[in-house]
Amino acid sequence: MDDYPDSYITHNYPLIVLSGLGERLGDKGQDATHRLPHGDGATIQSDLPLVTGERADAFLYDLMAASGNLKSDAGKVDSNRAGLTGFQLEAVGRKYTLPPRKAAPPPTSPTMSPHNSQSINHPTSRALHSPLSPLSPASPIYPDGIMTPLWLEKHQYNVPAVFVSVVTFSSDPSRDSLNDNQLKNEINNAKNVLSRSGHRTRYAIILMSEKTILEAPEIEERLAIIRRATGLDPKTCLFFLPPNTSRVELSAFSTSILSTLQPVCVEYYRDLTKHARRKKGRGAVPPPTAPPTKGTSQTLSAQGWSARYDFKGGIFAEFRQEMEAAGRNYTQALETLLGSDGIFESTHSWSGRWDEARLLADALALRIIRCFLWNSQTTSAVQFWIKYRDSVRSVLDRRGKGTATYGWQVWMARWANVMAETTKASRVQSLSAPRSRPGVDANVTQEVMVFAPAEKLFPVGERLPPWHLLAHPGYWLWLSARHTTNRRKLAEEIPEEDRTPPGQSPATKVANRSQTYDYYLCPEPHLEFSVDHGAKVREVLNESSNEFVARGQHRFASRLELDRAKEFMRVKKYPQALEVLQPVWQSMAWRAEGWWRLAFEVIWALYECAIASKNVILTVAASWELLCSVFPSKRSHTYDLARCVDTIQSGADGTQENPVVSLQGENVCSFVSVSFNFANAEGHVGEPALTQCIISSSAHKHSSPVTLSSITIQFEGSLEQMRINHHGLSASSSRGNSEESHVQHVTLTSEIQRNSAHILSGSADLTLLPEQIIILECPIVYREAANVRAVRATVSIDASVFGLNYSTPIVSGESSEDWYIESGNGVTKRHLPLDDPTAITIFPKPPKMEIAFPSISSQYYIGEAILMEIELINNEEEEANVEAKLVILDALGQELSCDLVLSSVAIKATEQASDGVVESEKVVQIGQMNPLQRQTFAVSFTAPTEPTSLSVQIASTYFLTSDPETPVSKNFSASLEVSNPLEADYQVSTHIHPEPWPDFFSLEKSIEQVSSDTSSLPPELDSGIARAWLISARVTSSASDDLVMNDVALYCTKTYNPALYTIMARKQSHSSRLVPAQQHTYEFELVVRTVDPEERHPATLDLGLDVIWRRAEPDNGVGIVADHEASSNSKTTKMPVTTSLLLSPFIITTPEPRVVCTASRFGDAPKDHPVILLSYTIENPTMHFLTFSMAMDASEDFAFSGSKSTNLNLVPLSRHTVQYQIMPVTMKEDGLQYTALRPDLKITDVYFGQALKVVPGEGVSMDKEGIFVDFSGSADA
Amino acid sequence: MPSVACVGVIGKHNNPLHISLFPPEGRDELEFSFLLSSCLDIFEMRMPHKTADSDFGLLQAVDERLAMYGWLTNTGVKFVIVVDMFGRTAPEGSKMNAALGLRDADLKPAFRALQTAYIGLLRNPFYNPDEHSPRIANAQQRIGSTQITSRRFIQEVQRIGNAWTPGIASI
Repeated sequence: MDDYPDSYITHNYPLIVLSGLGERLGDKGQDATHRLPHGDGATIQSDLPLVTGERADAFLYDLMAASGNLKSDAGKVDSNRAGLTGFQLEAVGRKYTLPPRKAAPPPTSPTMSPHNSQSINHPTSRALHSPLSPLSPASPIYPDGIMTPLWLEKHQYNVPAVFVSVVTFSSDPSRDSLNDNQLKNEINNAKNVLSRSGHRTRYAIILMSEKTILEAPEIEERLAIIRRATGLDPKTCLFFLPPNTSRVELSAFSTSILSTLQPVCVEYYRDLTKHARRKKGRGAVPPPTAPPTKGTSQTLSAQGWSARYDFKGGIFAEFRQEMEAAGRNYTQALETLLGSDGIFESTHSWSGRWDEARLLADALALRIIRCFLWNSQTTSAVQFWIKYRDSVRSVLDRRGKGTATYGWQVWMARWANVMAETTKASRVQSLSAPRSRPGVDANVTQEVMVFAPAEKLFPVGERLPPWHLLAHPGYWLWLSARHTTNRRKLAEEIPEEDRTPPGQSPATKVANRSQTYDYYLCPEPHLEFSVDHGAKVREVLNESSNEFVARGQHRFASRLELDRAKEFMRVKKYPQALEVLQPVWQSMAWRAEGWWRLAFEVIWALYECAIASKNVILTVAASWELLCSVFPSKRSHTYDLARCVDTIQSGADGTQENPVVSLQGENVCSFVSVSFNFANAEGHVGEPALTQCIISSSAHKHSSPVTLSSITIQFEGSLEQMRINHHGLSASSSRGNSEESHVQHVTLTSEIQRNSAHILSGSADLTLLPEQIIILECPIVYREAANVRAVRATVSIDASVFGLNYSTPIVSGESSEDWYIESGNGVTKRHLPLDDPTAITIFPKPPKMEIAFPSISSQYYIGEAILMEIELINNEEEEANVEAKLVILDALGQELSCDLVLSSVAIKATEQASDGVVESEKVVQIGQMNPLQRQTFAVSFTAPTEPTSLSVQIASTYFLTSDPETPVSKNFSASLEVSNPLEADYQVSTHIHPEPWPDFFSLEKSIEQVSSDTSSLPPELDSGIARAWLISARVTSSASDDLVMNDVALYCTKTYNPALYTIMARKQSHSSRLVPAQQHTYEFELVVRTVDPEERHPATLDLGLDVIWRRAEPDNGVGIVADHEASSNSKTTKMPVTTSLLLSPFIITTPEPRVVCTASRFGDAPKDHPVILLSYTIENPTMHFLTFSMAMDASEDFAFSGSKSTNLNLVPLSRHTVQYQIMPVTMKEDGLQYTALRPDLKITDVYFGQALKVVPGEGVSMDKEGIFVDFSGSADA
Repeated sequence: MPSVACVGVIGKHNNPLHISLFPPEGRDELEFSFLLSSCLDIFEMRMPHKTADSDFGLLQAVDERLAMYGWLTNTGVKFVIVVDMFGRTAPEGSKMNAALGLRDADLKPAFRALQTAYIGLLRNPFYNPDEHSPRIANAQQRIGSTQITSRRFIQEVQRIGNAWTPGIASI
């Protein structure tokens, strides 16, 4: 875009000339003045002094700022300047010369024409025209040019819309009128000069007062006088600036002046537009000042004039900031130019006018695009861009030198660049790059767009070519760069003969050249060839990539940077290329995202540059990455890391220290990958934790082996570091040439480094063949408990001329969790079933003291005396000083008292009272124990009387002789179940007490006799009745062992009524063996005696059974040990234990009349015909006289002797026995089987009419049907 | 008239899964790789502002010929279709004008077909999408391509690329 004349392409602002505030003329304005054709322009000159001072400078600055002059961002309204469109403000001194309105007449003309001639068509004088008109012979475009940039410069920089004078308005009563008169003269003079100049420039004056109106009230009157005398409009032409204004007020005043002048300017340019339109509408071309020479030259065609006026109209509209109107005018002008009879059709391409016309057309097109973008018509802008390009192409192909020339590519590159620059300048809202503005949260920034959506002109959903949506300038710049690349291609194809300067070539060839090549805004072939196209491409690419970076398109930018670096490489500027490449190489996303082909392009370029610029570090880094087999392999490249810098190091002397390359696994691709696994998730201090370090190579197959000098693993959670060095032993002998890997077992030794870091080091063969893995298996012994994690692995290479450290984090991944096992045919791997094999938890050293209860029994019984042996075995590898604490707790946590039984002399026991609490611990000092020595002691205690569970807890603490500081403790506890071994219940059967009942009719003596015979009853009991029961207590063993019953005793714990009782054991069995779940019956006779025969209340007895038992000795000896244990057991457990079992209470009923039947074998009867003696004892314990009737029922089963039916009278407190002899008659033929006999004696209380129930006594049983005599039992007895 | 120049399938981690060129011999794969990867910039740019729709429409046009359209599946896999606006000559008598543009909806049938093909690929029990993720592949130290190798999928992509024309209703 720089190729175009500045004034052709810059946006136009109304020109205001500020006189009297010192000079501050823009460079352009000055240049323009010099370029304009000289002539007698009107000069405004004033003798008034310049307004100076701080206030004047500030005022000037504010005016400049408000006009937008200080800012370079032409082309867009800045919202900060309220409603102001922007101005071109030129500050000049007191003298200002306007360019001449009319060209000076040709010198040949004798006619004197005053330069202030107002009439254009003065009949007598020659027609004079603007010095820049094609009609004036002095004009550069005379006679047939359309437009010159000078015309634009004239209006932009030289002919102001408003001429503003700034003067000091002093208030000095003595000089007031003098000053005012001078001022009036100045104003009138200036206005006269302006009107005489022919320009329509407006005039305005700013009075900078020294006093306020309040201070000097006469000012108002003075102003009115001046106004009247000069005819200035007080609203738009006269400004009064009071003194003592603050900066803010001054700035506001400046803004207000400009906003007042704005419509004046608009009006001025509208006047000019009208003038141009009138000239266009005139139809005929005015006669030139001097007619062109006949035949040699032609005049500007009507189309040319039309285009010229349209162009002017557009420019004036642009001055007015009416961009739509401007766009219309430009479009019309361009259409005229490119039209079928436009200038391109009528001009030869070799003509200078051709290029001028192209320049004008380009400027028009550019301005049209700017108008579109001004109105945010982005798509229209692109469409116009394309349309204009196509028009130019067609014109060039038809009339020009075609589009196959480098000139066309130059133009295309420029044309794309125009779009980029215009877009950038226009700041299309949707395409502006995000800027970090202060106060705006970065997160709420608007979405960045890479292309603008179609404007509203196009309905939603209409099919549009994607390129028609205006892309951001980066894309356009890239397009431009590509065209420049094409241009270079074409430039390189320029044949040799065209490369010589025209002076040294035959004229025919030069002529030929001008036919072939397009020189429009580009060098001629002999110069084109030597143009540094690369620099242009690089510049544009850089600009483009900045645009992409600004919008976060880093991948695109990386690609452009790569292209830029390649441009540098093309011209062998490798260091510069390296500068561009290095950031791309470091930050490119392609490596992380797996675009290997693209990453390879970068790395390979980096490699080439590094080699060429002898950068060892980058060469090594790039070589390292290139080895990775994800990248394509270059056939010509030798993949040998160790020798990669040989070519560039050959000349270097060996005195320098080798450079060390540091690479991070996060940033580079690596053919070496390291994984590190622990075999177990947990370990112990002092025990070796087995680890495997796997180094695998994914280098290219044909690459040379790489020898690592060391690999270092860093751990977290422990200070230790592990380093395995290459031992340099011959690789081939230990590993062979086979591709197979094998597990290398590495022994690690501990080293303390200078910085007191603890390092484990070992050595192994670290030669890494491509596609091979090195498996290093090494046990690590940890000295302290910690959570250890392998975090980083660093692989070092120590080549002859460089060192390399590649550091990579160790991550636990799915397939890195493998454990390699060497088997017969190679190495196999298995998956480690661990959550995270890179970490291990190291626990404190485990105690190896063993504690055992060798004599523990599965079951203990209540009340039992227990002797428990405790054995300690020292499984440590050295001597230990041991003490043990012992406590026995029951189910409620209460401590149980116990006694220590010490067998060995070495053992001493103390009892520690802990803080005076009742609880006390038994402490056993065992003392020194040799490795594998056993020490035994025992504890004895009595099991509780209730079933419960006990816990025996041993806490042993010991110190190893090697480490007397660290206590090692081992705890052991066992729980003992204490259960009740026996269960008991009982059955009761009625007996007849043999003792005679008290007889009212007997003598006292005889009673005494009886009582002294039987027992030592107290005499007061003599009058009571004794009753007897047989109690059969059944004892069942619920123990799991055999028990021996020593003795069983029935006792009564409590009576609930005054009664006396006697218990007599009957059929006492001797110590009998009770196997588990067996039942034993013990019979007791219970005799109850009432104190008083009159006592008739029921009584209750709570009965208990004391069983004295012991554990039975085992029947069979299992072995010596068992015998030994048994014998030691016997000391305690064979001691008889008394267990009290509670039975259900026994209720003694009230004495009532009753019948008890007893049966006994009649002794004399023959065996095959047994005779049973049945005795029915009828008791009357009442105090009544009772009569009973008795009847014996006959039965088929037996024969009986005795009274069949009788009556019995019983006196109070008496009893009587009736006896029957029974002989069974039913006898089976085959086997002498007798059934039970069921004698049925019916006894009825005659008085009460109540049948008495027969109660079974001795030898008689009872079931549902009644009593019966078990004959078979009797037979056996 | 416009035709498909390239179909790119890009994985969740922005890794290339598959690139088809149309016609394969006439296009520079490296160049198209660059273009496809640069589309990721735009996916990333628009992702925070994107609603549930998976159609990203026009991603970018790099010049008058090549324009890129994007589609994001709900598993994070991205499809990019590069359209060559002058990829083929319009058949005789066709209503379609060579200069005719495109609207985003024109690509939808192609994207839908691609997604269907990709779902078909995922339903193949022997295709494990994780194996094609570069992160996992890196972690597993597995070397080699993470590209899709299913012949059926590639054929389907070829078919879609060749069948697509602007305004086609379904492929």
